[in-house]
Amino acid sequence: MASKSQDTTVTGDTSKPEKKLITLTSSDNVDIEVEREVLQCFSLIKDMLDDLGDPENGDTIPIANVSARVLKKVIEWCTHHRNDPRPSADDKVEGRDETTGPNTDRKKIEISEWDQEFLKVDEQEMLFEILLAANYLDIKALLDLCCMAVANIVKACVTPEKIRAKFGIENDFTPEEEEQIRRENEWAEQPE
Amino acid sequence: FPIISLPLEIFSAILDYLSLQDLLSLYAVSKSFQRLITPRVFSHISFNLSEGDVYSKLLFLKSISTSSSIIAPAVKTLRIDSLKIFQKDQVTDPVREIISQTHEGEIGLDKEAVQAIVLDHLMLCLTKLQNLETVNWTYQPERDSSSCLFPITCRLSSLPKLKNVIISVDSSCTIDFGKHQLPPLRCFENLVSLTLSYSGDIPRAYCDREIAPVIAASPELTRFSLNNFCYSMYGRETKTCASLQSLLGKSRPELVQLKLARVPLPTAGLTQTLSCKLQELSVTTPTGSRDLDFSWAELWLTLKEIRVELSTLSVHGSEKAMDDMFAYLVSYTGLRKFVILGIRMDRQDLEDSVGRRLWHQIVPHHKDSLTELAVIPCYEGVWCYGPIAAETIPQCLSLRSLTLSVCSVDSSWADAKLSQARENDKVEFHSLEEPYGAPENCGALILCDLTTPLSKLTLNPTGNATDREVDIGHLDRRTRPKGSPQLYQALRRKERIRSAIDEVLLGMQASAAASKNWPSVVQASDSRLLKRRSKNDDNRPRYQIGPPVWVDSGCESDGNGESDE
Repeated sequence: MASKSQDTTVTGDTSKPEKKLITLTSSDNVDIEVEREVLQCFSLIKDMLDDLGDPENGDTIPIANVSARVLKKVIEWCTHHRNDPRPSADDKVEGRDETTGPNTDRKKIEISEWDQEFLKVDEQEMLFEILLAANYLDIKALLDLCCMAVANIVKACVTPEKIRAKFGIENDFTPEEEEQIRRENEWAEQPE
Repeated sequence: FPIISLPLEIFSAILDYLSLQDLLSLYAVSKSFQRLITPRVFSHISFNLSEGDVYSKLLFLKSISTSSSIIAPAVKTLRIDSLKIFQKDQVTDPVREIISQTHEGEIGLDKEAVQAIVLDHLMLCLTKLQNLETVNWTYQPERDSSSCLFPITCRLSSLPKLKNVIISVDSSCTIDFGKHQLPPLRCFENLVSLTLSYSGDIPRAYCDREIAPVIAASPELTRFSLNNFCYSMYGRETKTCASLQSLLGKSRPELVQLKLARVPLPTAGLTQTLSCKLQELSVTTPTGSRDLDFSWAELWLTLKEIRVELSTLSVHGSEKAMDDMFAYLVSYTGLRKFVILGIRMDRQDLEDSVGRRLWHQIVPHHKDSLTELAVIPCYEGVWCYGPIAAETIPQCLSLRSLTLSVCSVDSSWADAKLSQARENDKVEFHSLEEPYGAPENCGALILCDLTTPLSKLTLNPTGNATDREVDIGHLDRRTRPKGSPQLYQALRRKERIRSAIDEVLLGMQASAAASKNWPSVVQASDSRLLKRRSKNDDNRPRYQIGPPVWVDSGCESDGNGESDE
């Protein structure tokens, strides 16, 4: 997927090739400069740049739905992962490896150390905001990572009570309904 | 920030990472979660009356039967394991209480009466499963009440979306279809997939009166599987089961997938029976199709004649027509999955010459398409991993899953291979067996020249070639080896080799580059997997012991086993 945009790399000073910078404007009106190459992760913007060409003389690209705080995190992630191979359409997401055998916990999720560090955000809210930003900007790999991270939070909770506490959800079941739920559980079966 | 307000497709992507246990916890969090998760949690449900408190089952059936149930429309697959209450203490006082509220005057409800009432509720509940697509029903004639056979089948067959029927009849004695009732298959029509497993020999009358009619009434049938003597390790003589030709009859559905185990397939009329749309074929007969009217030669000739290009082929018992099979397999390209099990020809020299053709001609012919290859001979020889197989396997560049038998190989050949890996790729071996040609080292040898990243490697120690004559004698005389010290010794020997294969692999170290093609999992032992470590650390062995696995018994000789995960 070598894109034509790479042809525009400025040549000249050979010791330190200049990186083309593009400015994004966040929803809270902060301008953030990003290397052109890093933006390749942002499918939404990449498509736009491919269609419209790069912005010229001081134009910025507005990112209407993402605040500066979140956008910086997203750029941080994309900068770290800029050299990752681009997943092709039919590639399996890492962590959903189906090769671990029939009766093992195939839904075990492995997240790289750097990503784990990256996701150690203070508030849950931040994680969800990154998730929504990844969805909006169409960054598949980051979206998958955030989904895994949320799934891991759920897994770590184990009981409904702890999930409620973790995500601040109110229990709106009556004791009778809770009893019924316990009965229903034994019927559910793992699909083969 | 409410998790529940996430866009639905994201929420669903998160759920993809969760196990059933996690989902059940989420289900119990709140009403909105309950609504969102019901379709996932209850797409598969199972009914088993023989264990657990009947009280909760009855209440569940009742709640599903109400018109406001959100579970009933979510159910796509139903498994029925048992219709019989096994233990008296499954019937608790709350059950009697709840029943006596609606069934006045019935005091002192015994197990049988409660069972009848629960089954009544099951019938009612079945009619509510309007989105049910698949039913998987195990029926035991000696255990389950035959009076519910017809009502259950009838209700199932009236469900609009039911297309896949899987029925297993499990009986410890021979069933006289005249006296015993069996699931009335003829109630069904317009099925897309039908699987019938039968513990004994399927009675002729059942074939004629139930199986053939449902096939005739299902013009869209694309998957058909008939598993005669489904639990037998040793093939018994098939006497009553009807032939494929008479089962498919004139209706001749355009099958895409066909699985047969110990079902007759005589020579006549095969061209008019097989569908040219066939893609997946799995056939199991006793070794050399003894005690079964099965014309392997005609099968291969017909497939060639009607130009079927199978993508999946699994065979067991094809010894008598290997030339015809190979002639068919070289008539086209594109085979993706090839499984050949339990090879046991009458003579070693014959088997070896056929094995040479397999590795020199057949596998290379499909090398570009093969993703899964399983070759399991019963005895040591050319079919097993060795210099000849090792020449061919690296040519298969799409291979993802490989299953091989291992036996002793030439030690100088093994030594050369191991030295090469040590020198060129800096692979370290810490637990090799001596001599180097021992079967225990074969796993390591296979890893040394993989040209494609495997996801799974399965290894299987073979029997001694010296046992061939005795075993064939038993097959010919229809006798069975009795428990002898030699048999147990052979079993112990295999088990020892299995764990030694593990040890050799656990003792291997290599750089990330040198081990990039090594399989993600290796299985030699029946009960455990070796997992490749995901972290790159050159100073540690590449493999670690993974979680235990439980494999169905009899997989060694059962060509019809589900090898998919």
